[in-house]
Amino acid sequence: MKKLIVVLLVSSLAGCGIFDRFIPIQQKWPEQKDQTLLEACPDLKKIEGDQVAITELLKSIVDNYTLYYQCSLKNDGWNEWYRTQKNLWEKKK
Amino acid sequence: MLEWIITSILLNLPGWFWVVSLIVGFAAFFFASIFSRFPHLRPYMVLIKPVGGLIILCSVFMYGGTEINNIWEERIKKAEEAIATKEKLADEVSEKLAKENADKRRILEEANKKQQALTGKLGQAIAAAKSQPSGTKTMTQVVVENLGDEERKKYESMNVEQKVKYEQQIEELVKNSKDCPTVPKFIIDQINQASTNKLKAGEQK
Repeated sequence: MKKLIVVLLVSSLAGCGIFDRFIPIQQKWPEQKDQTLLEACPDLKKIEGDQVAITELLKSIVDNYTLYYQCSLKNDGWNEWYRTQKNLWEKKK
Repeated sequence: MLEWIITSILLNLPGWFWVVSLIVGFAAFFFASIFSRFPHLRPYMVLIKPVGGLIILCSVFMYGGTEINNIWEERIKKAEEAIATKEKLADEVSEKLAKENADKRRILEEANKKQQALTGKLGQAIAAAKSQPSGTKTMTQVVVENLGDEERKKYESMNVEQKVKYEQQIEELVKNSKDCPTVPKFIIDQINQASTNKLKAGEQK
């Protein structure tokens, strides 16, 4: 009976080692290093004045296209950052 | 309640201590069983035997606890190392992407500046072409001269077919500028209205 108790005790203590699910450590979600991506996209520029030459109109159009592409870069930047970080996060080791 | 005592013992005593204690317990139990056959030693052995048994049980329990504690510490250490590696990698990736984005923005800004500079010169070039007395230089020559060296080199490097096409574009541009010196207000209003569509979408939230 005593031997049985000792064997059971040893077995039960050894059994504790098989649990490995609840390691109380968690990875931090990485910070966005590119602060520009955190800024909101600006509003498009308006054309000021009543007498506007075609070249002035062209300037505003070029500026607005640039604003669009800057905003598009932010969006693409966020998408790429998220995809890359998610892949790293989900990678086992 | 006494958990802190067990924890501090587990953290401070090495595993081999409990192995030694287990051997001592076994020895006490074993020799107590033998010596209990001697009548004059029996009263002592009656006490030593259960103490030996208790030492055995306690040693097994504490040795198991120490080993499990070590296993967990090892696992936690490995998990921390793995996480630290991943976090470092994630930071490196973030920095790399931030640098790439900065490069893209710089290229975009440079392209914008270049095009704005050309657009700025375009107004002067058209004005110069309109006021140029006929016969001295062609309209295209006057415009290209006013647009700067880069545009001039680009024009000079064109083949005949490209030059003809380019000259037609310049003539069309100057003619348009003469016919319509300013953009109609209606067009400007429409463009301005289109530029505020985002604000309207925001208002509907």
